[in-house]
Order: sequence, then structure tokens, then C-alpha cells
Amino acid sequence: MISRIWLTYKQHRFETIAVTVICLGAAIAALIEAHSLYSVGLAPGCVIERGITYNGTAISASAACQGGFDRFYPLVSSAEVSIIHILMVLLPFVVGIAFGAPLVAKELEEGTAPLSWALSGSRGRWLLGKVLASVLLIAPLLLAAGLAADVLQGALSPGTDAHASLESYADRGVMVVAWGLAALLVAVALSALLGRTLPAVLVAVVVCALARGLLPAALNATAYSAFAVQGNPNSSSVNDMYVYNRVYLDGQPWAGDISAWWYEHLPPDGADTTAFDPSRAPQWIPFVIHGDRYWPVVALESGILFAGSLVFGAVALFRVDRRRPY
Amino acid sequence: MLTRIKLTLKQHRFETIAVVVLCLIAAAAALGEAYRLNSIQLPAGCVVGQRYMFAPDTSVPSTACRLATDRFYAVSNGTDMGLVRYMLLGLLPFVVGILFGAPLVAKEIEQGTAPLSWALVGSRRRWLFGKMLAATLLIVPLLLVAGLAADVLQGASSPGLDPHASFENFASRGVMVVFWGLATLFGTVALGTLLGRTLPAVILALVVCFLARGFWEIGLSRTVLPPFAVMQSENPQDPQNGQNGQMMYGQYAWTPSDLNVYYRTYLDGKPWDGDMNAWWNEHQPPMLVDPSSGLPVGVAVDTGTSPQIQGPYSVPFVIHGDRYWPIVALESGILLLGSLFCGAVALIWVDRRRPY
Repeated sequence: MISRIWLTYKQHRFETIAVTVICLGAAIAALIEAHSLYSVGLAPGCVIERGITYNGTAISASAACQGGFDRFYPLVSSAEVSIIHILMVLLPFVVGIAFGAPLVAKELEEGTAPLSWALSGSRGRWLLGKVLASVLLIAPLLLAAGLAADVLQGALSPGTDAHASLESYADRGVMVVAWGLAALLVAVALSALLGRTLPAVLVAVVVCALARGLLPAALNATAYSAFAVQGNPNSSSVNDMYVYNRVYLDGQPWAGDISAWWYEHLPPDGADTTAFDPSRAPQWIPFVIHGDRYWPVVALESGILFAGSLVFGAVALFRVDRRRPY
Repeated sequence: MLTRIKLTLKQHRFETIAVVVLCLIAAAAALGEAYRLNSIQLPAGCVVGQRYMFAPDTSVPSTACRLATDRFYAVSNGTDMGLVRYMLLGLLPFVVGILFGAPLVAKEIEQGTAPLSWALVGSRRRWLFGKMLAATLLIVPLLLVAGLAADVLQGASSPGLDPHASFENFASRGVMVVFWGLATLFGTVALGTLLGRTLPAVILALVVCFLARGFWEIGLSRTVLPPFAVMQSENPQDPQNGQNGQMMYGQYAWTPSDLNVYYRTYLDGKPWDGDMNAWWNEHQPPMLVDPSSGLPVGVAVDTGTSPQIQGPYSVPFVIHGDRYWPIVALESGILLLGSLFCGAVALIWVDRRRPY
């Protein structure tokens, strides 16, 4: 098995080097930015709170903390930090797809699959060796990048434990590894199904984009509803994860049509509005999951992604055993 | 030439169909989202800005406006809008350019058909020129359609604001989408020609495009854009710009339609080139200590008695939205030059490289 793993790295030299360089580059960039943020040297007790208000993201600080604030804010909102954030969002998908798409398809395209399969005896064992080699390469590299992103998150929110905050939680820590493995096995399955590298890359990009975009919404509508607690209707901490809004009327949950209520109760233009009390109108109340539930949330999502990865891995094994070698 | 164009599209059937489907889906999705926003008819005088949807907006003038804005924000901050705006429209020119550009030369080299193609056509440059022309003729109208649909979506997202007088998301809509797509296409063709392998060309193109797109604004903000920038405080739409004589930035001064170019540090009302960190380390007030625990609890908070410090502060310099077209023309011109350069590299290299 070890020789098969080495052979996989050798066969996919370019992808191996590219994945290593990209992951280490991302990790180093995140650590450098974290160092710049830590070097601001905020005085102890001079906590910068980052919250979401009506006007968007805001940072509030006491008047005398203004000095630290003035130095900290341009770094937080700098283009470099934004680029690293985007990089961390894309990294697991780029790595997974770059390594997964050619894993089977390259051999089919180059016509070496019949020989490889004949020599290895079992197609399943052949694919297992290749997938194992990929996992052994990308999991530690993505973990390094994810942990560096955790350090950056800690630097962005001084005084807040990165593992007690759900801000950008899907783009850092072990979630980066979970997404990377899912992208890898999706790409391997597509590679085995389509037998062509570039179509596998494109379809994998579409599948991953949809999964990344829709998974949070799907979880909010299903699993997270049970964990969510009532949040502050006027503002929200960035450490919390917004799950859903519920309409309340007179302090009770209300399932009526909010538009119909307003059309019914709204005083006509020019009428006396003194009797109308807008505070007794239906109110949207946000339900959130607080940052201290970081690990249960991460465990749940990682578990779902891991289960999905196993399904796609099984599809690839099943398909590679049955497909024509061209 | 017409036959060569048709042959290229036939040879790259999968890419052609994928590009057409992607662009049309992106355009349809953008128009669909714009329709959803436009169907919320905001009452006259009801202005919406950019904010998060956590609670009803109490700052709007009437309850009818409040109801409409709440519905507006529910759509504009929804998952669908995020998917369309950032995933589909943001990535579209890069996906399209890389998808069509990477295999244009590399596929023939990988499959070993390059020697025959080059021998039959007589001139390798003419062969590549025909392929690049076919790709351009396919993707330019498709990206233009998607870019214009993104303009419509931007107009719907900011009611009352002309999308061509605003720098909000300006690089991901309108003609900029076409020029980013062309730059990606020609850059990827050059990489495909240099490397002769499709997947390495795709990976390198992804890295190059990511870096180019990420550092594009930083690079321009430090080189060609500063002469166009004006001090944010000169914007008459921002009466809250100055607070206690100190210029504020962030939520106080930033307007979505403006393009932030750079910050300049001021001290005592004059431009200042010193080290801001060093200044604050020197002048920061002493710590307060909790007498019961003896632990530091923070620096002095303004209670009306503690002295206020007016240290160095940063003032944003911006380009207002009414300069949209000159800036778009400038950036498009730079991208077009880059595209021509990459195209020239591909044409030169294809004439010299081995056909395997």
C-alpha cells in the first residue's frame, strides 16, 4: 500500500506540489496577518466589541480606547484580511477538486487505466490506495491552514476564544478539513462517473458551490431550529449564529400574515396616529445559537460532511469497479 | 476562418455547452432576484440603505415604508441573493475564461492531435488565432448578457440609485464582467500553451486569477486611482463626517456608492507621516485598576472628567459614484491590455513549442 501511495504522489506531482504550496501559503498569510493584528497591542481591558447593528458591522470602543481602535480597525477591514478570508472559503474546494478530479479520469484519458487495473488485481484496492494517498496529503495540510485561520480569528476578536465564536466557523479549524475531504470525494466520484478531468472539475465546482451555499440554509431550517434561542432584537453579537426569525405579537409567537396585519391596522394617510402604538405591532425576533455551542455545531456539520464523503467514496468505488476503462 | 470557428466550438462541445448554460443561468437568476426586489413596491420617499435584517427598521419615515423595507431586506439579505451575487456572478468570468481557455491548446497537445492540426493548417499562429477568436465570439456576448443582468440586479438592490453612478460591486457587473472574462481567457490560453497540460493550466490560472482579482483594487489604489480620489469630508451627503473635530471613518463616512481609495493620517488637522502605533504607545492614558481585585480593568473611559485625547486619525479618500464610467473605462483598458499581452505570449509560444 505504501508503494501505491508514493506512486500516486509521483503520478500527480503537479497537483501534490500545487496543493502543498497553496495550503502552506494560506497558512503563512493568515499567521502573518494575525501577527500584525496582535502587534497593535491593545491595552488589557480595552476590549473591542464587534457587533452587528442596524447600520451594519460596527466596532464600538470606549472613548479612551479610541487609539487602539484607530489602529485596529484599518487592519480588520484591510484588503489583505478580506483576501485571506476568501482564500479560506475557497481553499478546501480548490484542494479537494484539484486532487480529486484527475485521480481516476487522468488514467482513463491517457489510456493507462487497463494496465493499472490489471496490475493491481482489484480496482477497488487500486482506488482505495489513491484516495488514501490523497487524504494523507490534504488532511494535515488543510488542518494547518484551518488552525492558522483560527489564530487569525482570535486576533480579529481580541479577548474572544475562537472556539467560543461562530463567526466564520465554517472557514476555519477542522471545518476546513471536513469541507476539503467532502470536495475531494465528490470530485473522485465525478471523475469515476464522467471519466474526463475537465468536465469532472466543472461539475464538482457547481456541486461544491451549491453544497456550500445551501447547507447552512438547510441546517437552519432543520437541525439548528432545535438549538436556537431567542436573541436580542436590536443587535447581535458576531459570535452568535443567526438561525431564523419568528414573529411575535403582544409577547406571544404569532403565525398570522404580517402584511395583512399592517394593512388592517395602519392609520390612513393624514389620520390621527396618536392612538396607534407601533410597539404593539408584530415584531420579528431573531433566534440564534450562541458562540459557546461552537463544538456541538462543528461536530454536527463535520459529521454530516463526513457521512456525505463516505457516500461519494462508495459511489466512486462502485462505479470504478463497473466502468469501461476508457 | 468561419469553418475553424465552428470546428473549435465542435471540438470543445462540453465547454461550449457548459459556458452557455452557466452564463444564461447566471443572467436568469440575476433577473429573477431583481424581479423579486422590484415587486416589493417601496412607497415614494421610502429610501433603503444597506443593512442586516435582524429587526424592523425604526429609522424609516412611515410604517408603510417600514413594512416594505422589512420585506425588502428579507429578500436582499437572503441566501438566494448571496448565491447569485457572490457565487454565480462573482465567479462567472473566471469560471468561463478558465473553462474555455485551459483546454484550447493543452487538449490537442495532451491528446497528441497537435502535430496533425498544425501540419494541416500551415501556420500555428493562424490556428491559435482562429481558436481564440471562436472563444472570444462565444464568451463576450454571453458575459455581456450576464453583466447587464447583474447591473439590473444592482439597480434593484439600491432603489433610486443609478447602478452606473455607483461603485457598489462594480467589478462584478456590467462590462467589467466581460473584460475580466477576456483577461482570464487569454491568461489561461497562455498558461495552457506554456504548460501543455490542461489541469496544471487550470490550477495555475485559478491561483493567478485569485491573486489578480484580490490584489487588483489594492494595486490600482496605490498607483493609478489616487489622482481621482477626493477627501471623504468633501462629500456633502455626509453631514456626520466630522465629530468633535475628528474625522471618522467606517459606518459614519462610508457610502456604498463611493470607492474607497486610500486613507491619509492627520494630526491636529494636518497631514502627518509619523508612526501611529508609536504615537499611541507614547500617549495612551494610564490603566485603571479595580481596587477590590487589583487587576487592570481598562483605560480611562470618558465620563466627562477624563481628558480626551486627539491623536492621529485616518481620513478616507474616495472616488464618488459619478465617476463610474471613467473608472470602468480605465480598469477595462488595463484588463484589455493584459489580455492582449497574454494573447501575444500564447501566439509566440505556440509557434516555438514542441507539439507534445
